[in-house]
Amino acid sequence: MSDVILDIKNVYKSYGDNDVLKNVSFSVRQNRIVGLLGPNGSGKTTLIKIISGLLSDYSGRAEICGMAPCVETKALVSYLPDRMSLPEWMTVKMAIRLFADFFADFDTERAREMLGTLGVSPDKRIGQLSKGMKEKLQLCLCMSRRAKLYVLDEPIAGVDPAARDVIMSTILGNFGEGSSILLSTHIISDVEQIFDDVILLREGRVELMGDAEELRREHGKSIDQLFRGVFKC
Amino acid sequence: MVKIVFDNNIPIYSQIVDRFVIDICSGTLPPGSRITPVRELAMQLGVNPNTLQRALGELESMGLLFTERTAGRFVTEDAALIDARRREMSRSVVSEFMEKMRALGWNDEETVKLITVRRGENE
Amino acid sequence: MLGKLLKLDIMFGWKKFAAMAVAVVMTGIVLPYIRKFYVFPTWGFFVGLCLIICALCLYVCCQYFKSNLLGSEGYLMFTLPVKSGSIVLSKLITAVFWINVMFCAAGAAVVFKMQYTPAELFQIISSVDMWKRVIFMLILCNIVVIPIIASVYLAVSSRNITVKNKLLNGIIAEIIAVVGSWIAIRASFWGIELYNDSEYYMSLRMDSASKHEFMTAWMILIIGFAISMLFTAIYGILTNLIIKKRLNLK
Repeated sequence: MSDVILDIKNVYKSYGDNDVLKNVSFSVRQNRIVGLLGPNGSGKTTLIKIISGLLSDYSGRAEICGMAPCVETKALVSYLPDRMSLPEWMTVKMAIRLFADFFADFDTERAREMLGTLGVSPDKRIGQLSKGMKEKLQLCLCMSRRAKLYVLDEPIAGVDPAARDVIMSTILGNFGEGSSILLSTHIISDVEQIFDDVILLREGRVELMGDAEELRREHGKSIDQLFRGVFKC
Repeated sequence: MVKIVFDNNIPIYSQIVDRFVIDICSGTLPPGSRITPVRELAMQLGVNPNTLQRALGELESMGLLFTERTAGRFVTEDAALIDARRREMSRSVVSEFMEKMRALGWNDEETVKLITVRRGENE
Repeated sequence: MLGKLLKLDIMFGWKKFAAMAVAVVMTGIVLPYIRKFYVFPTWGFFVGLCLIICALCLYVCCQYFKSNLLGSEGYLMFTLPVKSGSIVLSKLITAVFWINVMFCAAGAAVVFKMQYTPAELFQIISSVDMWKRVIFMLILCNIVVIPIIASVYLAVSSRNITVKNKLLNGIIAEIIAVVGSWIAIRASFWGIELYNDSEYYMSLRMDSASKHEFMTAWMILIIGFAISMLFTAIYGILTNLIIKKRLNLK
């Protein structure tokens, strides 16, 4: 039984003339937190959409636990989008019930607990919540699933620094045994200490990847500094 | 455990190791006390659990921590070992300090006098 | 899974649709009283209102299809572990359900408008023939409406295929919707027009008309319905294919 949860091989994606992903290859093992890093427009979100099954028109191989994105992999992948995806007319309670209904691996108790800790009231309509509350809600629902792979698209972008710590510890405290996290962000400096492995995407290509601690030791720099260096040339 | 401010330019695990060593030597983490489980501690510190695990592993090989299979991880009760480490660390702190003072042009006796005066001011 | 999707889709709009249905029924109740004070073509008004409500109903369903699947909510819907076919089917079934609720509301409104005495009402309700005619009309309406819904869904999905020319996409989508609906409805009525006889229409009005005619009319209606469903199925499958193969959320 392979411990590779996510395997990306030679993935290409272009929109007309625009090549968004060029020959991207990497893999994510079990029990690892992997950072998918790169500036806006480097193809991170496109890659994530492919993994989550939101984009089916690409070439190459993307396999979650050995399967191409399909109904079964959607049950294994917990996706946090970079935008609000929950219907505004629903209440928080309804949203929890929705997740519990569709996802067998959803832990309702945990979700309720997390939302209580984060101060999200269950009877409020989603449309009535502030932006920060909406993001916390989505994060809670995502992390309350006992999934094999958590794919988080820019969870801390647009969040104030105080809330960032809360979000990071929610992520760290809740990912299950035997799971992995793929976290994409363009803000590296605040969060690099949680990554096992990092992958840098630039203009759709993998520029650099490896174990975070090894890279720090090898180059004597922070991952943030390392990437800034890559972008200078 | 008080939050560590990490320097991202050097491996995180070694910074965790250093911090634990200091806490154990100073008695902040008393001998025989239980270490918070890895996941919880990783969450508190804001670091990757694997990185923390590696640091704790190194501390174990140094003899400063030990694992009891069902009960968890504990600080060693070997006072002699802790003391030895404390002295070793202190020695390097002192040498560093003396070097800096020498760089400022003080000789060792003058340095000691400055320390005494400083102590006097503090009381 | 389909059941859960249906629950979700119905939960979305039930207030709007319930309000529309109530509005229709209320109109039927209120119109006769208005007529006492102000004479105006109440039937014309009523039919016009029904058509508007019907169109509104269709509009709401299509808006929901668009926003739930091709907008931000798509990021949720398409990550649910369900087949895309179930998602499309659920939307179709919900639309058909609400349209039929509207038809029933219109029927109830007509009954109220006619202001039958309890005796007359009882006579009508216990007449089997009456119910036959009602069901006939209902199926006829569905034959027309269901392919329209399916072809609009297809049109909305096809807008999503290429990213290049938005205006062209929009035009193509409109063409698909209109042409698709027209072909389906025409084909369904082809079966009905085979029996190009006014006697067929007579059988709707007279309950003493020859049962033979009426039976044949039913067979033709069933054929028409089958053709209509066939087209709906084709459009549904095409919609599902587009969504499965060419999904491209913004």
